[in-house]
Amino acid sequence: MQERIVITGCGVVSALGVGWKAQAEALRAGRSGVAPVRYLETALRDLPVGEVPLSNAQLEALTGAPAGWPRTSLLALAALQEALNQAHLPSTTEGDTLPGAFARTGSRSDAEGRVSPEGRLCAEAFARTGSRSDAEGRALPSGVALVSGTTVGGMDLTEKTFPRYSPWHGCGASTDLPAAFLGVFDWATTLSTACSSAANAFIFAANLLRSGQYSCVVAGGSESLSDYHLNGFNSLMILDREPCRPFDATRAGLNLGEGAAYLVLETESAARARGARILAVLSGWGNACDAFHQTASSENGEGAYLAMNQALTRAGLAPEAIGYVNAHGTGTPNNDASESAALRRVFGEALPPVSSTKPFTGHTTSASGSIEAAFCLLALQEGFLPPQLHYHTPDPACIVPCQGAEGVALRHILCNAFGFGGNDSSLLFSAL
Amino acid sequence: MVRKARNTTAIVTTTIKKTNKHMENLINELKLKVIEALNLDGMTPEDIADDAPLFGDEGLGLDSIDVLELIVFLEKNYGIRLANPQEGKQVFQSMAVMADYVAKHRTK
Amino acid sequence: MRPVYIHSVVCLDQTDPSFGTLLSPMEARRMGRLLKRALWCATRALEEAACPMPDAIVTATDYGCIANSEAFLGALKAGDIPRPTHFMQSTHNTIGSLLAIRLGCHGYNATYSHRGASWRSALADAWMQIALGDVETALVGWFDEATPALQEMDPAVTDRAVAVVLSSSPEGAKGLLENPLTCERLIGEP
Repeated sequence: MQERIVITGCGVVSALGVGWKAQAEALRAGRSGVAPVRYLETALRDLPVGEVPLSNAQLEALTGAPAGWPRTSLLALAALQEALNQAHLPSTTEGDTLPGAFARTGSRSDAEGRVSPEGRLCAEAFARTGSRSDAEGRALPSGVALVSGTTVGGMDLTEKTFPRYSPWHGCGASTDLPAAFLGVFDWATTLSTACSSAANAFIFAANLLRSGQYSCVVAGGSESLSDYHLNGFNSLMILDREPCRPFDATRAGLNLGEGAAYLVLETESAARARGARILAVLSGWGNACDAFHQTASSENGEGAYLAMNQALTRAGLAPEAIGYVNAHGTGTPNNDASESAALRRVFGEALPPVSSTKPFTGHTTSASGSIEAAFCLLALQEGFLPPQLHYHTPDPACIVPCQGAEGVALRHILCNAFGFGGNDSSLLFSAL
Repeated sequence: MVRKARNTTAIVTTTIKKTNKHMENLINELKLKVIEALNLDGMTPEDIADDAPLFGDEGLGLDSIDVLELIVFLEKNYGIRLANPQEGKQVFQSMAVMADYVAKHRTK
Repeated sequence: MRPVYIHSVVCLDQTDPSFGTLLSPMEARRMGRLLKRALWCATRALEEAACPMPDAIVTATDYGCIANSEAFLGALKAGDIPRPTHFMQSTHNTIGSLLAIRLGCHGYNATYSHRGASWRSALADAWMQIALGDVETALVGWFDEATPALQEMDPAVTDRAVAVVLSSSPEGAKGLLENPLTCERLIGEP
């Protein structure tokens, strides 16, 4: 019988602040972190964004990272440190940045400066510091892998120096920096499927666990704001100059956000063997392609519908079992209508409470799948429903989202993440 | 009196002819520029009828991304800023409609 | 865990094939060179494998359609109005998404972008899913393009186009796929 995949640690940083306590407080108080641009260097300063309330210098001080990293890597490190601490895996704020070649050139040479033709970070470089025991010295059955989702990578640096590329430009390089710093991973890889990147990181991690390649995988995503993609979304005319209003009839687009979140995933037996505290179970997931258009979603939300159904099927649950859906709900006329159609197809008349937390954080793109997963875990742990902020006018083409609520006993939560290119994913988290 | 009337008619007729020629030139200019902007390789202005719908299956077959590209195109070439894709769809119904809009609103 | 079989491996070198039969001018108008090469390889690989519709499409790309990123960046730097098409085609998953749209494939779709680990990860993803019985077939591709500016930062970057079809079925197979996470050499590598 297939082992359950459990979550033993969670770390988050977003416009709501650093750490998962800060997220819970803001969600329950209905306090949005969306505000005018503060740190990002951009001409588009009139756009509301969900910026993490720390400058790069402040993030460096918080995490111990050296100067010069992409912001995506700094956010990732902050979230990873919290997740590893919670899971009692080794963590550090005085990490080994690997001398010489690696620090200079990223993932293309090992600690002795030997360039691998494939550019692969040599096993020795990772394993030299990779741990096989947790912070209490209890043995881990295997090494620990890191699976991260991002699209921006080091673009925040490259856009300043272009036509010169930052050595940290690539998605992978921006993952390797915090990975090497923490010294606990023996392998790292990166997914990039736009707004479903982090959600897909969980799916790949789950398969690494199910196939016995690893017994512990840290997965999630990180994305910083960049002038590049702020302009990019602006050119697609899907940004709202006001705070976003998912599912509302007057909705006019999304607000971009940034942040990072990571979950520590383990097989249940590995977690129990080392006495780790289990937060929740990843009991289902789905990944389907809308295959309709590169930036728009289909009218009947086919990809979204298939992804949600797959998650339910894998978890062995009927739709009625779902206590809350954290919608993708970007606030664009297209997504919210398409997602509503998909939700109606899955749940029929018996729609559970649904809300989008993007008015709290902005749309954190590649990190949204993991930041919002963390919100789902908080909801499960503390028994509350995150409210739909800024909702006033029902739209017949959309579902009616839920108000906030306290003292709700939740057992199963669905978390949606739909990316450009029709990369639609859905995750199902269950209470232990 | 009769002579004057004839002259006025002649002037008016000449003005209409000039305006029509002006529009014809603008439409042709637009066709050439749109073909380039949207990368419609191998197409010539003769392939696009003035009143042919640009979008949808019966027309040239342009799509929602083309609307965005044409919005950029309009701003770059004629200094016209459309507010949203919905406005774009109205303006880009056909080359003739587009030319009319450009003639009325261009700032370049 | 089931064995996983290789049914086709299609690679392109620096020379481009003719794309005429594959794409109409209207279809090709928005696609840069990398997207056309990716489509060509994928189509060939599926034909050779007699697999009209894969259950999964998994893409590896170290830098994505970097030419589009540069076009968008260039416009921003010059103070020009940037083009939405360049942005849209610069996201790393644009290749995988295009393949799915062309095939009408609603199956699993993922993109790995990690210099030095992209291809290994993409193959591992497909291998695990077939081995675990989640899917029967997968189209896996590795697509990259080099630009002078990118090569300045990463001299080893090169134009790459590889497409592979994997299946749970041994019939018509060309070989067995070893665990991509642990094997030394990966299929499709030069």
